[in-house]
This record gives sequence, structure tokens and C-alpha cells, in this order.
Amino acid sequence: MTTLSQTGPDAYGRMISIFELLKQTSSISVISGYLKSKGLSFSAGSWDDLLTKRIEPAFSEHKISLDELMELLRRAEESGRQHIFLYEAKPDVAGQMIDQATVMQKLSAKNLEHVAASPLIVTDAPTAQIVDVRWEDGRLIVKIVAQRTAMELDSSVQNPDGTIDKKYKLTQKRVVHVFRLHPGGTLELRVASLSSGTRYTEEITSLFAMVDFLMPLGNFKPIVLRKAKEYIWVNREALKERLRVVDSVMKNDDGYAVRGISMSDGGNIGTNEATTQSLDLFRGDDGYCDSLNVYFLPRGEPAFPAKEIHVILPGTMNEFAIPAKCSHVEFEYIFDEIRAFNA
Amino acid sequence: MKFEHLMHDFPRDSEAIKNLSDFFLDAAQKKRTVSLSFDRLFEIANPTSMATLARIIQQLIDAHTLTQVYRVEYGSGIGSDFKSLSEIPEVIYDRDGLEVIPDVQNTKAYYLFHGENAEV
Repeated sequence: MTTLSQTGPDAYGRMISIFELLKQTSSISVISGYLKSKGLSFSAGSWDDLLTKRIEPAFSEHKISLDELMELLRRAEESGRQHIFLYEAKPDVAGQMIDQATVMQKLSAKNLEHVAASPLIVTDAPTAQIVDVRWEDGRLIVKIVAQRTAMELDSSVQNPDGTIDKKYKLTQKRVVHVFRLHPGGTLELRVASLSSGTRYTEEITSLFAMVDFLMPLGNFKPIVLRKAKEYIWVNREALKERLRVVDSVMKNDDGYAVRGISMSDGGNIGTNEATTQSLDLFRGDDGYCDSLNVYFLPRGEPAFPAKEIHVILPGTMNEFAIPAKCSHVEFEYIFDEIRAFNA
Repeated sequence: MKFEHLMHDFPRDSEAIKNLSDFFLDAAQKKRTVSLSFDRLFEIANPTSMATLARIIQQLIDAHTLTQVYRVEYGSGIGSDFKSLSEIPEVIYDRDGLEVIPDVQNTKAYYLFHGENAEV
């Protein structure tokens, strides 16, 4: 159990740092909802109000702790807007990698034992760093904060001689990546989504290099998600209350592909016979479902998930993506569904 | 197609080699030419590790069972194939006529198996 000291001269400063990160990663309604659930004053029209009228008084009166704020931050920044890559290790090997005493020993050898005792609150990370190592329900979680640099067009000026001067500015964006190793051997690597591009190979390699002393890549092999894709496609009718498919690509090994798409994100190709028959005909004996774009649907009363959740199952063998932010409960739901479809 | 020597070299992956052997035998019987990414071969074989599969693939290339090509992709698996890295031009054009600059990120190895030429 990692804890943050509630006292000391920098406790207030750390509370402010967590609050600033919550501003970037969460919403006023989520924080207000949490305060409400604790029976605290919760209404706030702005982030300033939320801080000065709600959080600061509750914090100084010890009605809300740094640990609770950190838990809110973890939930806000560790779920959604991610590409998730799945791997598996043998259960006995996973058990050794998860073992708390062994992990603490390895962290100590790297002078990193403090991140397991108390998570670092890092607002800027010019160099990627491990900020949090913890165990939840027997699963080992390692969190990395990094920074991505993006080049944005600042201004464009056309000169009289016909040339154009373009000025770009470099912007830094804090990103969070998470490894979560399950006792059974499953490993999730949740990589923060790139704002442009879909290739994560280099990032995966460098992230694994950072945790090599805890979870060597050689201990793992990818979990192929073909069964999940095939299951969703074949059972799309039975699953229609749970999800809808807006995009599906069938491929064969002869080097050909057929794609069925709904022209609107609100559509469902499963309801269009011409599209599904075309795809099924191509899939035949030698074809396979290569990729899918699906929306998981709200169900029940009160509805869960609260809104549709877009999930991409791309052609990469062990990857799925949740493009938008979601709650940690929604993330667990999607994760469990994908694993169940792949069983 | 000779897979016995692979069984000898990679005894822990005998099941994976059998999976590959069955797949290529079927492709040969159907006289299919198949092009496979590393991911697809991993899925077909289900090897013990990616590193082992890479070594198996290299042996299949050395034995001329597979031919390696480099595909500069501009869509999901779609692109232009080249026999060697040195053949890749500085610029290629996608199907909308837009320029694509080949780089490490968009260039991927594919492995071809010519079923019509294979000894079954």
C-alpha cells in the first residue's frame, strides 16, 4: 500500500500539484461527484471554486486526504485514450515478477524503492520516469510519466515575393503509460494515444526497456486477439444489445482484403445484409477478420457504461484501443469483455 | 518442404513448427501464393517467443521456402513491395496520388510463400 504523507511543509504543495493534474485529466463533475459521495460540500462552477471553496477547506480539515486525491488522479489518468497491448508470461514466471519482496529488492537496487512507498507527483517529465509502483488485487502496476513533443503551426505569412514563412512552436504534453501484470500471467501495456499516427513499436520498445529490471520483455509473448475479432464478427447478432460494429476488414493470406464500413459513426454494419453477406463471402474458408471498430452500448438502468465506448481492434495482433477517456470501471468492463471474447 | 530440421533445431517449438508446416502444406495443395506479416506468422505458428519465430523464419528464408519482401505501407497492410531495402525509392505514391516518404515506421517485412512451386 503506497501512501502520501498528509503532514509536513510540502503537503499543501503536493495537494495543489495533484489538483493541477486533475484539472488536466478529469472534470469538475467527476471531482464534485466524488466529494458528494463522501458527504462533503461539492457544488462548484469553476475549477477555482472547486479548489478554494471545496478541496482546500476539506483538505485542511482532514476530510479529504492526499491518498484519496491521488486515487482520483490514478483513476482519471490511467484509463482510456490509450492503445493497450496484451502479452502473457507463464504463471510461475509472472508470480516471481509480481512478488512484492522481489520487486522491492529490484527497485532498491535501482534506488527507486521510494516510488513504491509513496508515488511521485510529476507534472513535467522531460525524461520518462517510473512514478508509481503498487499492487492492486494481486496485480503489479507500474506507472510511467513521460513527455511528448509536438510541433504546431503558430503562424503563416505570405511574403510579397511569393514565399511563405511558416512558424512552428514546440509544445510539450505530459503522458502516462501503465504496465499491469496479472498473477495469471497476462500483462497489459497501456500506451497513451498518439495525437497523430498509429505506430507504437518504438514507444513499446523504450517502455519495456524502462521496466526491463522488473518485467523483461523476453518473459512475455503477445496475446493474439484473433479469437476476439472472430467472435465479435460471427456473434454480432447475439451481441447486438452489447455492441455495434461500424467498420470491419476481412483479409486473406493471398494478399486481398474487403472492408465493410458504416458511412456514419452512428451506424451498424451488422444490420446491413448486403454488407455482412459480402464480408462473409470473402471471409469464406481462408479469410479472417483482421480488424474491427466497435461501440460498446449502454445497458440497464442506470445505464452502464454511461455512454457508448468506442473500441478499436486493429490489425496488430495483440492490440486494442480506447480512443476517448473513460472511467476505470468502464476500462475494466471493456478489458474483461475483450478477454472473454478471446477465450 | 522440409520442416524436420526445424524440429531438431527448435525442439521446444515443435508444435509451432507443425502449425506452420500444416499451413504451408495446405497452401501448396491449393497452389496459393500467400504473403504473411510477422504478426500473421506468429498467429499461425503460436511459438514460445517472438525471438524463436524470427529465427525459424530466417531458416525458412535461407532454405528458399519463404521469400522476404519489404512493403512500404500507406494504409493498414496496403503498400508497395520491394525485394530489398536498397530498392526502395525516396518517395512513393499512394493510391490517391499522395507522396509517401518511406521510413522505419511505415516499412514492414512480409514473407511470401509460393504454393504453386512448392514440393508437397
